[in-house]
Amino acid sequence: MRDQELEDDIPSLRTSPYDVKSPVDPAYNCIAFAVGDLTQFWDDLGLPSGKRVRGYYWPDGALSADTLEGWMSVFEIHGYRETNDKSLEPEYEKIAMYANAEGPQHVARQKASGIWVSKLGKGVDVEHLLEGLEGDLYGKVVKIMKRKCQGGKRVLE
Amino acid sequence: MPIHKPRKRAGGLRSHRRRLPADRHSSPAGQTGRFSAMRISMNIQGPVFVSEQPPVPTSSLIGGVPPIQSHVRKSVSLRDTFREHADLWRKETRHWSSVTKMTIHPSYRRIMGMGPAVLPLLLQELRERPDHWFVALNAITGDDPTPPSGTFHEAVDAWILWGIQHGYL
Repeated sequence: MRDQELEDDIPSLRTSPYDVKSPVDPAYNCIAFAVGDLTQFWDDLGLPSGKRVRGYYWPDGALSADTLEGWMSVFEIHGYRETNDKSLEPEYEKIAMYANAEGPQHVARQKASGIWVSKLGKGVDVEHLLEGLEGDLYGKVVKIMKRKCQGGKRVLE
Repeated sequence: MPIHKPRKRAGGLRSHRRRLPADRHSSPAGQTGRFSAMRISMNIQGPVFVSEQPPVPTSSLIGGVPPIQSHVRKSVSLRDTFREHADLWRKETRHWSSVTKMTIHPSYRRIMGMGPAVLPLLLQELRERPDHWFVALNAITGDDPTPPSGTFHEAVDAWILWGIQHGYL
């Protein structure tokens, strides 16, 4: 089913297949979703731990949430390493980060089927092609990271 | 390095009046009154007043003077202003993942700038449409009732309880 609000904000979805997988939920964002946490909104609000308004989570030791390095550091904590290969490799889980001139904007993770899935801000979870979310809102895919499946099993489906 | 000097404002007030088409072009014959009405309705200090009615048709003018009733204006209430900015903010940030970015959105800043008077509206909004109002609530009240390591939903619940306890809800 087509989502008009989604296509208004991300016009490339008008010509790229996608599938909405959840209701709107402002409780978690794309980074949280990519590491499998549907209960918290991951952001440091540009402040160190202890000085932030409560209700948000950012891992100890991770760099600033305003930077691509900061986002990468979150996934490094979760075992991901940088790669150039966005294709499906069955023994790896992969994530893809989108960024524009303002910095990192979005992250998606690859499912076992090869399709990508992500949480769109405060909105819905969506299965999509990587290029389907590229545009003014999220910029382009600028970084791919992967981690080896543990014991041959994916941590996230 | 050039130093920016703030302009002095006569009388301490600043006109928000924008140039209208009628300012740039001479009024067509027979439409003087109509353009005058537009000028009057827009030449108001500050953004909190609006004209309730569109410019009066030329045919209804008597001697080029519009009836007084056409200039009834009302103050846009805090509620209306809040509603306008809350709706705009929600629409324009619905697919954003950065709270920092959400909270520097002009409408969010405008709502924060409304101060304590907006708390009943803000807390009611949080209760009816949970969203990322924690930064604004914290900025206005100086309080943070959310437990350490609280989740989004725990923060919503904590602020609603705070609102009840402080008589805002």
